[in-house]
Amino acid sequence: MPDKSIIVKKNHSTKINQLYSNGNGKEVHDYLSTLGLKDILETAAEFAEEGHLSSSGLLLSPYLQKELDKKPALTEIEKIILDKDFNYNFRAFVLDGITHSKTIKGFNDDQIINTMLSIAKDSSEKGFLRRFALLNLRAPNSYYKKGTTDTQSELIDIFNDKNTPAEVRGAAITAMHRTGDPNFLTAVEEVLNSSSNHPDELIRCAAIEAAKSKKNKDSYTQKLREIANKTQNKDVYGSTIFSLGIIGSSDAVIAILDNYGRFEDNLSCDSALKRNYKTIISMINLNQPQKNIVLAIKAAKVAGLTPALEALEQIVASSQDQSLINIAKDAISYIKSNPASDNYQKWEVE
Amino acid sequence: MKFLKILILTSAVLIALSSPAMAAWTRNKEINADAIYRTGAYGYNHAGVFYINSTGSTFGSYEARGDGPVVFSSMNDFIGTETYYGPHYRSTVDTSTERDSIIQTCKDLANNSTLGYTWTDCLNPESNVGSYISPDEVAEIRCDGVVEYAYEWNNFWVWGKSSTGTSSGTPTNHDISYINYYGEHNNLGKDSPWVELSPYVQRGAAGTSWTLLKKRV
Repeated sequence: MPDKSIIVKKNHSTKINQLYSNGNGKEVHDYLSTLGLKDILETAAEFAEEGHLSSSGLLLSPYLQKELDKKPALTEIEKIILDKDFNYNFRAFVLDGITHSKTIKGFNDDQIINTMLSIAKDSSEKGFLRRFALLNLRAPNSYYKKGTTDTQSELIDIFNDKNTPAEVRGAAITAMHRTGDPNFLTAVEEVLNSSSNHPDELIRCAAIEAAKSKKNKDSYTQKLREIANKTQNKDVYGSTIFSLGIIGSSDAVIAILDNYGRFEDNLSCDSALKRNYKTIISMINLNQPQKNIVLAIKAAKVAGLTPALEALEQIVASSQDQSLINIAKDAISYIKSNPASDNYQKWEVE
Repeated sequence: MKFLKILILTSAVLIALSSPAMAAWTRNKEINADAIYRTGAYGYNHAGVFYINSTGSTFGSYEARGDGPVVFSSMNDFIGTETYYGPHYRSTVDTSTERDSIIQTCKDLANNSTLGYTWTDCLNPESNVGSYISPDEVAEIRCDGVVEYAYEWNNFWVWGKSSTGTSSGTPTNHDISYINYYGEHNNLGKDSPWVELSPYVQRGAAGTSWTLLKKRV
C-alpha cells in the first residue's frame, strides 16, 4: 500500500522534477525503472495532489502496467481504489491501470467489478470517479453472473436518483447497455419521453445509447427529431444528430436534413449523412416519393457523397421532371468539386 | 473619476499581459484539421486537432483530457502554461473537404458523450464491433488517439508499428480504426518509436521515420 506520510513529503515528484529539469527525460525513466509498485503508486498519488496526474499519468502508466504484470494482490489494489483519503484522480488512475492490465484483465474480474459498482453507487464520491467507474463496467453480462436481484437494480438506482450528477446518471445508462441490464431501455425511454424534464448531459447519453440499441428505431427517430429541433443546447443538438446518424433509416436521414445546420453545425450533420450513404442512394430513385428524392439529393450534395453520383446521373437521364433534373445536375457538379474523403467501405451496414 | 477609470483599465491590461495563462493565443500557421501539440506529461506531450471555421470566428482544439470525454477547447485552454509545438500536417490532406472529413470525425468523437478516457491505451472499441471501429464504437480514447483516429478513420495514415518489430523495419498496419490493428497502437512509450506510441512519437520528436506527420514551418 502507498504510504500517506511519504506522499505528503512529495519525495518522488521532487526528485522527478529535478531530474527532468536537468536533462531530456532519460534520467526520469532511469529513476522510475528502479521503483516498485508501492513507489510508483506513491508517485502517482503525489502527482494527483499536485494537480497534474490527468496529464502526467502518461509518464507513469507503462511503469504501473509493468508492476501489475507481476500480479500483485488484488485485495491491496482494491483497498487503494476504495480509500477516500486518497485523491480521486489517483484512484481513477489506479482503476484505469487495473482494468486495462493485460495480465489481470480487470474488466472481467468479479472483485474489480464489485469495486467499481461500490464506487458508482456511493453518492459521497466525486462525480468524475463515479462516471469513470461506470464507464469501465463494460463486460457483457458481467454482474449477472452473481445472479441476484439486488445487483440487477444497482445501475437503475443510480439512474433514478435525481440528486446524482447528470454525467453519472448518463454513464449508468451506458453501463446498463454494455452489461445487458434489463432496465436499460426503461431508463432510455424515460429520458426520451420527457426530455424537457431532464438535464442536457443525460439527454445526450440517452440519445446515443437509444440509437446504439438498434431497437424501436421509428419511435426513437421521432423523439430524437423533436429534441434536435427544439433543444437550445448545441451539445445536445450534436449528440442527437450523431444518434440519428447511427439509426440510419430513411426517416432518420430526413430528420437530420430537417434540422440541418442548427448552431452552424453543418459538419456533424454531414458526417451523420455520410455514414448513411447507402440509405441516401436508395432514396435517389424515381420509385420513391418526390419529396424523399429531393431531400436525398440535397443530402448527397451537402455531404459530398461520390457513391451517389451514379444514382444522380440516373435521375438526370430518366426523370421527366426538369426541376428534379436541375437539382440533380447541381448536386453532381457540387459533389465532383467537393468530394468527401473516401472511407465508405468502413461504414458497415448492420 | 476619469483618472480612476483609466487607472483601473490600465491595471487590468497589465495584469492580463503579465500572466502566461491569460495571454491571448495568436494564430500563426495553423490550417484547419492540423494536429497540434504542446509540452507536458514529462516529455510525453499533449495532442489535439485544430479546428477553425470558414469565417475564422471559431477556432480551438479537439482534445481528450484526463477529466472527461473529447471536448472542443479554446487554444488558451489547450496550451495553458505549457509550451506550444505548433501545427503538424499530413502532406496527403490537401483539400478543404478532406480537412472537413477529419473535423467531422473529431465532432463525432465529441458528440459521443458516452466516450471514456484512458491513460493506458491509445484507443479501445466497444465489444463486438465489425472489421472497422466507427466513431460510435470507440469506447475510450487518449489524446494521441484523437489525432490518430480522426486521421486514420479517413484513410490518412499517421503512425504504424514496425514491420519487423525492430528499428530496422518499416511502418505498417497504420489504421487504428481497423479491428486487427488498434491493439498495436496500445503500447504507450517514446523510447522505441517503432513499436511505441505517444503524442511525442506521433509528432515526430522521436524520429521522423515512424510518423507521417510533419511540423508545419
